[in-house]
Amino acid sequence: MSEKTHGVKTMRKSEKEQAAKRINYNLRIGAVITITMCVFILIGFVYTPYNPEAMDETQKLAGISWHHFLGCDNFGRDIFSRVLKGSGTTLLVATGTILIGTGAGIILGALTGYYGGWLDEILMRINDAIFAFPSILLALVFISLLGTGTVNIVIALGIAFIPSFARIVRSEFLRCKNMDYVKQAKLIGAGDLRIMFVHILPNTLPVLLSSVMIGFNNAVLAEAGMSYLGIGVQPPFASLGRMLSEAQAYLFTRPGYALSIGIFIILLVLGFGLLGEGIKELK
Amino acid sequence: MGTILEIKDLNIEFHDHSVPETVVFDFSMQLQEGEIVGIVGESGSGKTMTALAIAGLLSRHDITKKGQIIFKEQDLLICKRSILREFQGKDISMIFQEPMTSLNPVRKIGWQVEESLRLHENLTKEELKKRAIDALREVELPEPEKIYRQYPHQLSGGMRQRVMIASAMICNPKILIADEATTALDVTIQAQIVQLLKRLNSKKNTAILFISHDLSLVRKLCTKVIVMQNGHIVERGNTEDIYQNPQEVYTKQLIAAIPKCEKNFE
Amino acid sequence: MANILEVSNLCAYYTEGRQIGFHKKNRKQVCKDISFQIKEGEIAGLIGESGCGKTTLVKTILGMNKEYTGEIKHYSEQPQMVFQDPYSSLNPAKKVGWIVEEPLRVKGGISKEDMHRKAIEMLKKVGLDEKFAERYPSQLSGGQRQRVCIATALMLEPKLLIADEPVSALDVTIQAQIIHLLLQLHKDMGLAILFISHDLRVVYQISDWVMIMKEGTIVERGTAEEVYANPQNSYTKTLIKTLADADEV
Repeated sequence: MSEKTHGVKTMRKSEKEQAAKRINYNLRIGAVITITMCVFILIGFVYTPYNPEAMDETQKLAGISWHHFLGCDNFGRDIFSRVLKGSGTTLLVATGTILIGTGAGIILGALTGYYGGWLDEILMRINDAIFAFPSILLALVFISLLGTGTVNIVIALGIAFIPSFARIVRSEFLRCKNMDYVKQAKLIGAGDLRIMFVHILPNTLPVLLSSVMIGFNNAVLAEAGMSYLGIGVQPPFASLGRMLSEAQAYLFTRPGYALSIGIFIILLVLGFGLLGEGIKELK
Repeated sequence: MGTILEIKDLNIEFHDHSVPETVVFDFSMQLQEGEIVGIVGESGSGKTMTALAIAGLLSRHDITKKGQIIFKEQDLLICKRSILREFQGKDISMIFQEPMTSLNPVRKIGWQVEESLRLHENLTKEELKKRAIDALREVELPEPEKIYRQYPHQLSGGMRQRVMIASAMICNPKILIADEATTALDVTIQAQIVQLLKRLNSKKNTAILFISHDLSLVRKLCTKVIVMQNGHIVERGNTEDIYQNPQEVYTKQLIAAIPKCEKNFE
Repeated sequence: MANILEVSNLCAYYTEGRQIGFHKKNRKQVCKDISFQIKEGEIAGLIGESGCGKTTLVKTILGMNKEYTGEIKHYSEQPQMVFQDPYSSLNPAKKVGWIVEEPLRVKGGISKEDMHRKAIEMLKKVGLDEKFAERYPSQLSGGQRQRVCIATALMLEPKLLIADEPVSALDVTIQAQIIHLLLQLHKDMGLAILFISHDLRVVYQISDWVMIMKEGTIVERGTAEEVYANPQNSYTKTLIKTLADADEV
C-alpha cells in the first residue's frame, strides 16, 4: 500500500483510536526492567547495606543469609552492596561511552553525509580504519596509551564507539539531504548548520535512538569485559566486570557468586535491548 | 465470450489498528474475456486494494477479506497458496504505478522479463531469450536485443513501463491489472501506453482492469467503467454513457476535473 | 511592467559521477542557449517532458546549480519554489505550524506571537484552518500537503514563485483545486509564477504565455492560445495531437 493511502487512512481515525495501537510489549517489559534496575542503581549511590569496600574476615565466602542477601566474596565483602555500587559504576561508564560515541558520531556523520566530497572521503576512510578493529581491542590500545582509570576507560570506549554511530548518522543524512524539504530550507536562506541540526537531525532520531540502545548494551558488556581483563575499573572499586573476574576463581565452590553478578548484567542489557526494540516499533 | 472473473460482495478490512477499518465495501463486478474495464477514483477510494486482492497480493495477517473472487472455478480468497501461485504471473498479472521501483535495479531487463516464464514454463535458455525478445518487440520497444542486455536505470520512465508490460504479458495472461500504470508518466507517454494496451488487448484478447484517477484516460481505453469513492461503488456502466450522462455528483466532479485546453477559471 | 527575472543565453551543465577519486567526470550540457523574461505579476508556463532539462533550468535559476554560462538577473528577493512531490517536500519530523513559520524564524527579527499569527493567516489563505498547524505532514493528504508547501513558499512574500510540476503527483480533482488556489494567490498578491508541467492542458488553464522545451532548447513560445491553435514546431504538433486524441477518444 502506498504512503498516500496510508496518510488518508490515519486521517480518518480519531486521535483516541490512533493512540490505542497494538500493545508494544517490548517497550513495556523493557521499560519495567530498566526502571527497576535504575531504581536499584540510584539507591546504590546513596545507600548500601554494608560498605562495599569493607572486608570482614569472619564472613569470607559466606552463603546467602538474612544479613547478606547474596552472600559475601572471598574478602568477606557483602556481594549485594558491591553489586549495587558496581552496576552504578558500569552504568556510568556505559553512559559516558555512549555520550562521547553519539556526540562525536552525530557531528562526524552529519558533516560527512551532508557535505560529501573530499571531507567525506578522508573522514570516512579514517572511520573505516577504526571500524576495522574490534572495539575492545581498540580500547585496549587506548588504555595502554592513556593508562588505567575509570575516566580513561570512558574515553577509550567512547572513541571506539564513534565509527558505528558516525556511519548510521551519515547514511541517514545521505538519505535526507536530497529531499525537497532540504532544498526548500536552502531557498528560505537557512544556513548549513541549521539545515543539518534543526531540519535533518530530527529525522534521524528514530534510527539513532534504537542504535543508541544497542550501543548502550555493547558498552555495558565492553566495560564488563575490560574490567574482567583487569584493565578497567581498578580494585578496590566495584564494577560488574571486575566482580565477575574475581568470582571466576570460585565458580565451582560458590556458583551463586558469579551467577548473581551475571544475572545483573543480563537484566541490565535485556532491559535496554527491549527498550530499543520497543522504540523502533513506535516509529 | 464468457465471464472469466467474478467478484461477489468483496469487503476488505484492515486490522492494524485497534478498531477495524473497512476500505472496500461490497464490491461486485464481472470481467468478460477480452474486455477492458476501468476503475476510477481518488487515492483512498479503495481501488488499489481491490486490485491487490484480485492479484492475490493481500495476504497479510491483519487484513480480512469477505466475499468471493472467482477465477477458473476457484475462489482466490480461500484457495490454496500453491493454486494461487500457479495463477499469479501466468493467468493474472499486474503492472504498477512506479516504473522506477517495480523493476529490480540490479538485474538485467532480459532476466526480469523472463522471470515469470522461468517459473511457469519449462523452457531452455535459448527459448527463454527468444520469447523475451519477442515480448519486448511486442511492446514496441526499439532494438529489443539491446534492451535485453540493459539495466533498468539506462531506460526512461516510459520505456520501463513498456518493459513492465512485456514481463506481465509474456505468459499471455487472461487478465492484466494495470494499477495507475500511466500516472507517473508524461502526458504524451501516457497516451502511447494507453494505445499499446489497446493494441495488446485486441491482438491477444487479454482482459484488462485499468485503474486510474484520470477519467479521460479511462475513456480512451475502457468500454466499461466503475467509479469508486471511499470504498463504495458510486456508479458503473458503459464509459460513454457515464461520460456523456453522469448520474452521480461525484462522477460529475471527476469529469469536470479533467484538464481541458480552456481558461475555465477566468 | 518591469521584468522580475531575465535569463539570457543560459547554458547549464550537469556533472555525473563523484567529484573525487578516479571516476571519470561526465559533463553534460542540459540547457542550450535559453533566454526569456518574466514580468511582474504574470504567469509563464514551461512545458516539456521529463528529461528535457526543466529541473536543471530551475535549479540554475535558483542558484542551486553553479555550472552555467550566460546571465541570470533577478530583480527581486530570492524566488521561492513549490516542488513536485508533496511527500518529500515537507519535513516529516516537524509540525505543519513549525514548517510554515520556519522562513520567518530563519529571517529573524520577529516575535514568536507575530510569527505564529502570520503562519495561521497564511494557512488560512491557502485554504487550511488553524488546527492543521498542530498536525504532522504524515496526517495530511497530498493536496493538503501541497497547500502547506505553497504557504511555506509564500511566507517571505516573494515576487516570483517557481512551481515545478506542482500538480503532477496529485489526483485530477485535487489538481484543479491547487491550480485554482495558485490563480487566486496570483490575483490577490500580484505574484508572478513560473509554472512548469509536462501537461499542456494544465499549463493552458493558468498561463499568460508558454514556452515549450525539448532536449534543452526552447522550441516554441507564445500565448497559450496561439501555440495551441497554430503550432509551428513539429514537437509541439505531436504534443497537441496526443491531447486532441485524448479529448476526442
